[in-house]
Amino acid sequence: MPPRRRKTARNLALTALSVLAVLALPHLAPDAERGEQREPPSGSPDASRAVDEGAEALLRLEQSAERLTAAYEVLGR
Amino acid sequence: MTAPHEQWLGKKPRGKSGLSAEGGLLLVLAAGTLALVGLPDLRRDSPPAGAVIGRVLDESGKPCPEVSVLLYAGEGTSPAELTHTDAAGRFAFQQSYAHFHVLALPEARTRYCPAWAVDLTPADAFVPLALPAAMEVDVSVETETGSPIHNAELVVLTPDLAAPLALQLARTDKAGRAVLAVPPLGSVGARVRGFRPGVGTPEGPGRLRIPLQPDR
Repeated sequence: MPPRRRKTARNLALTALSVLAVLALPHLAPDAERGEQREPPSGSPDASRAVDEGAEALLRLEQSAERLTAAYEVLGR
Repeated sequence: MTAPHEQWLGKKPRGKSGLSAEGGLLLVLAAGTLALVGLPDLRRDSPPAGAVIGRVLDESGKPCPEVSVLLYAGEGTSPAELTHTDAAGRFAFQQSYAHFHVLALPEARTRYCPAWAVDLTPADAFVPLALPAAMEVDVSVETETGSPIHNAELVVLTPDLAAPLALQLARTDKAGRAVLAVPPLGSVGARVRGFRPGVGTPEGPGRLRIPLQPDR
């Protein structure tokens, strides 16, 4: 067998295996590598800030209501 | 030349190299077959990729598939991205933001309430969300004398009334009523022009009456 054909065949095989490795490895990574589960933040009112907590709570509620309305519209509900 | 099956059996090839053209072709075919047949299975079980990934579970830790998950950037109220959870409850967004919020919104007729994760930063690359179980509550909004109030705005609130978030929006019908999905310890707020806003907290599934006082 000519050396050139051998080299081509070897290169083809190595290329195919490299492509496979690149495609497959990220999908095999376990969930644990992507971060530990933790509780979602429940809000972060900074006590040191001189803010009206009632107004902040109302703003947060209004914003979440507006976002919920937009979600209903996007989802066609 | 040594046949491919002879190479697998350990017979040395006659050429200088250990890989013949047929051997190389066999490897390429094998790799191609694995790529076509094997990778879809691997993809099915592997988590989605993205700048922000997360998982939606119910209170017992069971994955919630086919839940709509929306990402809101900064102070924006329109979703920047929309995706859905896979069979394992996992989701991914392609882009992260300096300040963002995530809402998991289950189907309308479900036994779960929505869940929020608010005030997130790029450090929150993994966003776990737990959908609270929903209690079906038949809410009636009335005047002090018991007359039904039509078209009152209703909002289901998260349990933390110091910083409440909206979980459901609705309006009362002509009988002043609406059926809502309320999480345990959650509340229902009601407001309509001409009356002071009112809040009621159901003790369990069933009826909840919210009387409103006239706005004098």
